[in-house]
Amino acid sequence: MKTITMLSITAAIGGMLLATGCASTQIYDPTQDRTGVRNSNTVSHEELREIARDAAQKVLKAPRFMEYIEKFRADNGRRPVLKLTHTINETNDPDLNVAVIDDILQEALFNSGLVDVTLAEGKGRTQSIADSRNIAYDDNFNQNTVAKKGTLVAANIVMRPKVVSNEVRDGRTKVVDRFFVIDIADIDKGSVVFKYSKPLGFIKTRGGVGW
Amino acid sequence: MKYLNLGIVAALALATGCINSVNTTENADKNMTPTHIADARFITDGFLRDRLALRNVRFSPAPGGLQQVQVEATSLRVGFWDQIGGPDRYHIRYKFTWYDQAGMAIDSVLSDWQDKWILPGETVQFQSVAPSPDCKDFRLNLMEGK
Repeated sequence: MKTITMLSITAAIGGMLLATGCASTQIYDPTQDRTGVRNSNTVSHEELREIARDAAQKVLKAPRFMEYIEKFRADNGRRPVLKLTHTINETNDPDLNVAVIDDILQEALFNSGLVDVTLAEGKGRTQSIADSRNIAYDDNFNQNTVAKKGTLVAANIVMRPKVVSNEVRDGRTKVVDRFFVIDIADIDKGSVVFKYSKPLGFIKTRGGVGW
Repeated sequence: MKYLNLGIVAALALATGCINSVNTTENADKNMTPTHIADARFITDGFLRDRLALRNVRFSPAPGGLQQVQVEATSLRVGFWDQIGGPDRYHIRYKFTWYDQAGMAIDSVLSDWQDKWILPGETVQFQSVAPSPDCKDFRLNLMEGK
């Protein structure tokens, strides 16, 4: 009996050590691989990336947005300047960071040559642009190389993402629906020049033994 | 033995009736005037070639002047064994790569691998807009998803 107990304990310890050693790290490329990992309490980067790519494709061929771009260019002789505003977050994650949507859309729009992007105002604002004006008071700097006051170009259009998440449970099944909206509006008139929306969802089913 | 054979035939007939695939209808006399282009294919997966029929490739400028492409494809996984052996929807992964005038690939966030799930018999479109005005040609990569 004592032998059996000792063997059982030894086997249990050996099993635990083996299981501990089975942990692994797998590198993956988000541009190529799909993990399919989903959590109802937050929105994954994979979902945000999927939405951003799709929205970027849509905006690059949206007739009304192109009409606005062409009219702006004809009236002003330059591309409109885009800035970001804060995301409307209606999900379970109050700290949800949708920067990946902003970044992908900005990159797509910038590289397409349709808009210019500003870091001088909006959510993407960087303090270093304002700080550069302050060094005008520092005699150590060649004043001809210092950024002059009154040279910043104000944004003409603003982009606002919105994420809504809803979940419904029925027994062991939970259905999570996500709704993504991206609006681009003309700052001067306040009117929307591009609107995009897309739903995503997943179903989680709990097994017979679990929590 | 006779009853066993009858049972097998009945089971197969029942299973065949449970298969759902997509039928389509559209106007026979088209009003649209798409720009079809000839395509060159390089096949390494014969199963994919036989299961997903690439019907046409359309290439034209988008409203803003950027090039856009659409490849239309139909899932041919409508047979009994296709649907018994696999999931209801056909998982396809695809990726567009765009090239400039010199034939150099233009790396873009829009060139990631993406996913599409296709119902049996359904016709879908793989679409892409060029990431920049420099893009002149494209390549579509397709593979079966897991």
